[in-house]
Amino acid sequence: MHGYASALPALLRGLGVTFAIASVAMIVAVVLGFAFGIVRSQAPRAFDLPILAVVEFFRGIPLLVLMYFLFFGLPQLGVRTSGGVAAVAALGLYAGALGSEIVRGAIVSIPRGQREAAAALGLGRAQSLGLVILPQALRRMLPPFVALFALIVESSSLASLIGVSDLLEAARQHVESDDAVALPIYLTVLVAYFLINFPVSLLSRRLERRLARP
Amino acid sequence: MTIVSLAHVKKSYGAHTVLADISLDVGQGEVCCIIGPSGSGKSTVLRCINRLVPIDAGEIIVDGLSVTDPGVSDVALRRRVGMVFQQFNLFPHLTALDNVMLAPRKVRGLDAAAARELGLGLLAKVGLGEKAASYPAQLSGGQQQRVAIARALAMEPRVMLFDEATSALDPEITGEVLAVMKQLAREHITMICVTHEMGFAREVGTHVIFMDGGVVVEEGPPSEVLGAPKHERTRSFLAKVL
Amino acid sequence: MASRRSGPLHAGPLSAALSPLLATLDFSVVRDAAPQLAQGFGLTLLIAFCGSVGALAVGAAGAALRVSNLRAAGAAATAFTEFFRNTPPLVQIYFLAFALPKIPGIGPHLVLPGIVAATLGLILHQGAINVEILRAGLDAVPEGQREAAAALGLGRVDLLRFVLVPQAIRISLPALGNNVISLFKNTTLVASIGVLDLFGVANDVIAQVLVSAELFITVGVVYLICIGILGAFFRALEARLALAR
Repeated sequence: MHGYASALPALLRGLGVTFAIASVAMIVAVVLGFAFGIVRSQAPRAFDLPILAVVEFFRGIPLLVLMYFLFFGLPQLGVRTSGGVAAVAALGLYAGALGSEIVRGAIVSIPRGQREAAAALGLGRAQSLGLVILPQALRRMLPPFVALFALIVESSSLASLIGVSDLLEAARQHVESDDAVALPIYLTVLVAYFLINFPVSLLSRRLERRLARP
Repeated sequence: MTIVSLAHVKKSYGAHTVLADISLDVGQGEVCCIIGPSGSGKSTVLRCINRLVPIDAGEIIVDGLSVTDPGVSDVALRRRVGMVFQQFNLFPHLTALDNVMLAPRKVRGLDAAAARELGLGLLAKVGLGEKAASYPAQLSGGQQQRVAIARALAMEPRVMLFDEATSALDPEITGEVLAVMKQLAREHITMICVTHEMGFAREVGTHVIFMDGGVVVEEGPPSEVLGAPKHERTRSFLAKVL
Repeated sequence: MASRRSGPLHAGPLSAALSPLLATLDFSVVRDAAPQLAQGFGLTLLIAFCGSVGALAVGAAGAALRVSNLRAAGAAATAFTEFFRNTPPLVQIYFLAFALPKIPGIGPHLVLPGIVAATLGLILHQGAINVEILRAGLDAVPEGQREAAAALGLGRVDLLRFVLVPQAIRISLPALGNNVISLFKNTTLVASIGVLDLFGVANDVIAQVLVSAELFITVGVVYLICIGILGAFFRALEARLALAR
């Protein structure tokens, strides 16, 4: 198992990179999600369609195509990025689109009566949103956002294909130089991802159950 | 002859006793109306009769079969007992006719043509002949409940159980369902009805049972239980309801 | 600028910024590679179709085991579901392609052709997701339906077949549709082990012509159109099967 043991430090470093990418992408996703989600939930029809088009675009395009375009295609148009930036940007845009649907869905699910009561009390649009609607909507957004993080971690494995030294790339390099360790290394990688995503997934479901209880 | 007989039936959920000691007999052609406050265990009694809820102690005999006998299969028991639910529970993905035909075909083994004839006949009987191809979502509450009655009758049971069949309906609609139930009573179908409709109980009921706190407080003909109740609890309940 | 047609892209500052960039693109490389790309697209469709059917079968089998009374089988199904849906499909594909053949003893018998390993990886991952979707769908069927079926004397098999499953599928349809769309997008992963689907062919062509933006844009548009068609298909299916008409 000499080959396997020597791979472990590199795998751990790769795991750190994976975490870093996933975390930054998550932040981007939350920011974009709130920005677009709130705007779409409040805006009149005129804004709705263009934003919907953008959201649907980033949901509909395969993440790998987006990543490759940002890393290989953009330089052709004069914009150079590193693998890490391209990966985070692609993940952030994709997850941001999903996030905007989460935010919008949660806001829209707050009963109309809340808005009516706030208005009847004299609260303005922004006040109603900030003081009444959003605080309630935030609770409902939590389970899907937690699940989104698991999806981001899972999707971050694609970064290995544009040269980012994440967990999967570290594994692949070691297997390439010594294919006898393919089994233990890829098994380790599977288990590592599982140990991250399984608890996150359980947390998301637990939060959702807590939400269902009044 | 006695079709359904309960003897000292007990049922608890953990520490909560729902049925403390229930005994009652229902003879052929009788219409037994069970009344009482919510939580008194009325619905549980019905569910014990067709083994949807197992009993902890006591005995229930349905058409000669013992509910507590493990040798008696669920199917054998439930072919003799028809049940109509408060929430109708029609199968939403099937038409009215398919709802009525499903059990006769799968449980009684009727072939398609015979089941169809039976189904159309029963739907006509409850006044919904032209709605055979309609889906539950296209029917009103009263119509859905009438289809549910036809569905239960399709099994040709020995006794029909009605669990607050009209409670989920708007007041103006209860009439059409009660009319069907009265028609069944006139045809001497054995019925056990948990109901709040005192008018129905008075008109077609052969005997009325007042339950409270898991026990039978009072029973007798409608004229007695509803007209001249003997127990204080019965009186105060009726005062609130009537 | 007078020679340009006007249209949504050719308006205002966006156009001014993009035009010089877009002008540098030469889509003739796409035209030249069209036959290969079409072949790759055919493979994408094949993988997507086989993958979706396989994933649905896995999902149905897994959900059936989980709601059955067989405790061991149900536990195994749960373990399978949780493992395969919480790990990245790309890693699963790598494992099937590179790690399986290294299993001591039976390894040499498990050398899978690239397309098989890739499709299998997709089936396992999206299938595991389907198990959870269908199980939740079965759970969501109102309890009253089970009561009514029991009161009518319907046995367990008839209950599932005529009452629970038809309703569970209708309830699950949006999520199942989304999963098919996910699988379609994930077919791009097969290119990572050299399978020549649409994305794989595109990358091949790029390696030859040394420009990439045109191909990625074209391929991206193709995927978007396919996803759009799939989305419309599933929405129509949902509308058709809806219980509240």
